[in-house]
Amino acid sequence: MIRLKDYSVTRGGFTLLIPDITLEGRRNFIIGKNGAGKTTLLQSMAGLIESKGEFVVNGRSIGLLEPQKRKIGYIPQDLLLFGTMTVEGNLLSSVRYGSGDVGVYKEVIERMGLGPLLPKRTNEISLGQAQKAAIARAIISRPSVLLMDEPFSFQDEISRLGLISLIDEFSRKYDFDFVYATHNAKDLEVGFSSLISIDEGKVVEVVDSVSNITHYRTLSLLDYKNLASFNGRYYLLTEKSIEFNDISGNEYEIVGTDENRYVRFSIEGNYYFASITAIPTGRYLRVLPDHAKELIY
Amino acid sequence: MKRVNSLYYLFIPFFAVYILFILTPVIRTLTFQSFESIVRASSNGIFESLEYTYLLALLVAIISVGFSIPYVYFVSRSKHVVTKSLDSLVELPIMIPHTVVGIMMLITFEPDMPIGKLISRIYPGYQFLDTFLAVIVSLFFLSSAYAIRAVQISYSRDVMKYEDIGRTLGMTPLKSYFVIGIPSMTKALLRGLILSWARSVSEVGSLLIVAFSILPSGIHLAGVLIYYQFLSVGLPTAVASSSILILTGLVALLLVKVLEREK
Repeated sequence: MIRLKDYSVTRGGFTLLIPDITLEGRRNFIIGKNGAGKTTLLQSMAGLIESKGEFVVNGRSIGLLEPQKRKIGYIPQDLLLFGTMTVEGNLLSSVRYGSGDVGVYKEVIERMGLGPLLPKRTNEISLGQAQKAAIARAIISRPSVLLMDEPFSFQDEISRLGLISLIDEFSRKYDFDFVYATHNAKDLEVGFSSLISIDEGKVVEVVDSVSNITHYRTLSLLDYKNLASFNGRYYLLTEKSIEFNDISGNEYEIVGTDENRYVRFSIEGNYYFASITAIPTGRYLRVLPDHAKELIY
Repeated sequence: MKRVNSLYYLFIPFFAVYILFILTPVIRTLTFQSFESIVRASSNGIFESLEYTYLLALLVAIISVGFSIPYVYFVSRSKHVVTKSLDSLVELPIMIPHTVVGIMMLITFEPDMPIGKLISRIYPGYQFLDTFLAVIVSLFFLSSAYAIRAVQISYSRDVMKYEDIGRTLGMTPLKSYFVIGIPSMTKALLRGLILSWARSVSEVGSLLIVAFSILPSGIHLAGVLIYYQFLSVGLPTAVASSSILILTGLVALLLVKVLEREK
């Protein structure tokens, strides 16, 4: 369990404020657009930048501890594998000099199939392999919490979700919680215990399921495929179909052929389209679940 | 094929003129006299002088780099505005005329000056003028900035992040620094060493004041020797010695470039 209370981080002119949040489950996500404060939050939790307030993990107050005493793993976006070492050196670094466990090292190597990579230098492996190595290195250090700052953002969706699922599997096996920061709501498809929405340094809301979202301003959530917004209201597409009450009559346009109709609509400057079951009459628009997709220009 | 805009072609002359401006005097010096003349001139003490110059410059470069390691760690991790302000003093020796540096060293470290007196009390018989110590102190004052900045750029831009990751893996600051930080700085340390060494080799002004000839052997360091040869023996000898110095300088520059390319 992770708790942050009266927590604040100041960095230059930017301030992150968290009055009180508790993350009780294993899988936690932070979502917010670039510059919202995700990296600042994760780095402060890892002890790499100064913070004020209470930070408790599994009943242990760690906010004032040095990074090496926190048992908080951290995988940054650029992974930061040690270029002066081989992959093996990277994975064993915490075993030799830190909090790592050689038993976990052996298990993780086998489970992730990293054996052939061990003698290679870090500049001799692919990005995907480097990402796996970064996960392995963090897990071998036996953290209580693993923080990830969009480390897989350059991967395609399937690979990214595969890696998050792998971490999920390890978190159960080695008993750690993880916090995954992303600006891509599709990452949430692996499921989550808690979802923290951050915007401009403030926590907008913390929910344990998409259906509990009542108020948020984070634009990036809007491209989550089971969510749609119309005329300032947000709709969850978990039912067989959903009705949008179109007040203005000007917020959407129909695109596509007679056999395959879509409605194109705009949400705060971003364009989306969704399949429709009937031509809107001007009052109602019907959207099938799982068919709303982002329209990329 | 990559397209190049017209601005690219417009600026080619600037590149060419500058390279020519640097190369012309170098080529003129190297071709001023025959290779045999240069070899003959080498018997005028330039090699002995270069041996001392290079070794002393290397010693100063090693001290500079050794000093830069803890200095850079502290400055890069300090958030205090006073530290950041004081750090800007590192470049100060570069802007001071070197003869002035020599005078500054003299009035600071001579035994009859306040700091010199203090040192004399601790080390009876302490001398400064025309000693190896005077050379080392003056060259360190002038060349340490090059080592510090070379290491600092690498450390604050890249290495700190890796060290921080080491700490999240459970390493103490000391372990993270020695296991991850120092090895990651190898190229920067080497670059700082070469830059500092090259700067020391080229020094004349301050040495004319504090160590015109180093006692008891009376050896002149290379820059001073060439200046002395120019005044007392004549231009050809000074040019021959200069050629040898320039050739070694080119080797050092080449090393720096190779290192940069590898990085």
